[in-house]
Amino acid sequence: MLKQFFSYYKPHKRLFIIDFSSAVIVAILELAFPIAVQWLIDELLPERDWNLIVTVSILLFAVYLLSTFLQYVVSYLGHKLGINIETDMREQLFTHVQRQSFRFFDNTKTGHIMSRITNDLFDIGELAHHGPEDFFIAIMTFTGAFWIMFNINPTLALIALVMVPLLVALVTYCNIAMNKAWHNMYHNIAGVNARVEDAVSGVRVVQSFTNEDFELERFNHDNGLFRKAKIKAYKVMAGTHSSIYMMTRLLTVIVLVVGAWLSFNGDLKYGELVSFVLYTNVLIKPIDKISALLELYPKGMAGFRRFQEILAKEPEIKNDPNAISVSKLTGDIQFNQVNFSYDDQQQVLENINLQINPGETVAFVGPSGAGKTTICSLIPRFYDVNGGAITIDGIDIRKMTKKSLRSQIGIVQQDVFLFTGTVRENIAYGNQQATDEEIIDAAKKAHLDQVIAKLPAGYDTQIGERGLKLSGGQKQRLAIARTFLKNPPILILDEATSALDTETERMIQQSLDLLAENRTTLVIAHRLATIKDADRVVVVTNEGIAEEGSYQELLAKDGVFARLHKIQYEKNQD
Amino acid sequence: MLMEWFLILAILTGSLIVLLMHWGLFLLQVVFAVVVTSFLPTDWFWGALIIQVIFGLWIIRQTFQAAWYQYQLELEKTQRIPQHYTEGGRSGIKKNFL
Ligand SMILES: Nc1ncnc2c1ncn2[C@@H]1O[C@H](COP(=O)(O)OP(=O)(O)OP(=O)(O)O)[C@@H](O)[C@H]1O
Ligand SMILES: [Mg+2]
Repeated sequence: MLKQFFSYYKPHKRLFIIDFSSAVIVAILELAFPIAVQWLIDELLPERDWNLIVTVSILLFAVYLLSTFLQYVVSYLGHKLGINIETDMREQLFTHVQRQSFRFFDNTKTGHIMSRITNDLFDIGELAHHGPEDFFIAIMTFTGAFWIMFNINPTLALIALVMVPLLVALVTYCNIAMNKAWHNMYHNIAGVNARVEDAVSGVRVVQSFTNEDFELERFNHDNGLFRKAKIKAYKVMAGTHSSIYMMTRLLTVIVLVVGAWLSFNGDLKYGELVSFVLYTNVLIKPIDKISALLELYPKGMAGFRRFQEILAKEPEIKNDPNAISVSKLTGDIQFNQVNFSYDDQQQVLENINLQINPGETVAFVGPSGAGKTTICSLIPRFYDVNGGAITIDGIDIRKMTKKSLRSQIGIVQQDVFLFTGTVRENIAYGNQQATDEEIIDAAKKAHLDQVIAKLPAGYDTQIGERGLKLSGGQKQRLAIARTFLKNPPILILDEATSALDTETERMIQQSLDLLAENRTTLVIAHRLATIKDADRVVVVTNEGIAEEGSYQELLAKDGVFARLHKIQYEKNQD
Repeated sequence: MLMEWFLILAILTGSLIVLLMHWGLFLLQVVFAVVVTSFLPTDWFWGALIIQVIFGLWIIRQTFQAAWYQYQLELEKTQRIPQHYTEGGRSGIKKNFL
């Protein structure tokens, strides 16, 4: 997995090399500084040559400037590298998700995909930047500092090193205390969240019982608990910081005392003592970095694993290697012994045989859940059949490219999805190349023009998630306008179950009739009144296709359809 | 010189054992280091060094696993995955992480 992870560095090799080598140079300069100080104290000071000391100081300053610049480079380019890799992965993930079939989205929550694309990739980006660099630098400075200390004085170096486990013990202990404090906090914030969620989702109940004060009291209780837990966490945090500070100073003092003693015995020069003290600070810095990496590594790697899991999911519906790109189908649709199930457990369609002639309007009726929508989703290959075949104009749809097949089919779905954007953009979704005239023409045909005229900014009014909310009927007409723009030879209309007022319904019916002209049309209808003019009615029940024939024929037959008709007719009488 | 290298390894391994909070093993490491540096015949020294290296590598592996466990706990506590180690309000903190 690490190998795959590093393959993402390849396009940014140059950036990585610059960043990495800058970091290495910074670390080397960091290591060199105490040596310079030692040299200054032990060699230059005794000679009392002021000019030399000034010159050396100026040089040292120059080196510091260089180091500052390189640190800037590391911080800037390093993060740039991280975000570049993150962006590449995000693009790859988005492309991959877009290629997935319907079944993938049936089984994957939107929030799940969202967090893959945002949070996870954020962690991966951090790891991509900090991981290799910090790991290498930490090991390098630690061993480097220790090696130099060891060469100055092995005894003192080992004494300083023994302090490391003590420091680690302290950090560990503090982490546990922190963990406990955070645990309490998370527990309490969950309580607060649950309370808010209850109060907001149940606001109608709360208000109808006028229990606002009671809710506030309960909320204040939980909120207070959370505050206490958080204050405690801060207390632990403050304690952690100060005790780690104390420990590092203690290390300095111990080195100072032992060093002074060694120096009395003539084992250590003054400059060496000073540089030793400076090195103790260099020595403990990587401990921090390593512990941060221990936290970052699983986060980033788990994110990367999930990233790869999604990438490994091949889209279920793929183009056949020999798929042909069809142009202008006539709409001679044939179902041959089609079997289909969504999940291998429950067979939704069994042995369906159906012939739809070019230009015909066929209506599907039947109880809810019978499989009407399912039959229609098979035609554009949103799902593949489990058995049998569907052909259009005599060609198996699995032998056509997905793109060419779907470009021949227009669908007006039960629930219309509007994108964030203007009305114009939403209509133009049917055909990105459409001119303004074509868009206005489509809106007119969908009886949407009067509605748009009343909008504050006409065709440029923002709609969708964060804009104006359109009514159900308006949405449907917008979807119809989209389909007019697409102008496909095959049309699938999945009528909304929600009832619209008669006026709106009449208007929608008119535009649908206009849309259906000269196309092969499949209508899924819930109100039988809307399918009186259909060439043929297909009655779908849980057992499959129960009856087939014209509206009048089926009424005369006195079967399932006649019963449905009677129920609806009686309802309307009420 | 070799002796010092052995001691460095022992101290660093000891640090990681401390991180994993296994005091018994820590004591073992200390005793091992003392025995090797003070009483062991020099012929056996290489063997001790190899044992120390292998032990150190094993401890590094354990450290990574502890890091994964820690992350698991964080995920559970921030309600991103179902509770397993922290079920029923437990904090999930172990006495040691070996
Ligand atoms: N995405 C899906 N995943 C799994 N099962 C599904 C899915 N969509 C529908 N089903 C199941 O398939 C069966 C047929 O559903 P379908 O949507 O085709 O019914 P319908 O005839 O269009 O009903 P309605 O009149 O309510 O729109 C139902 O039992 C339903 O639970
Ligand atoms: Mg349906």
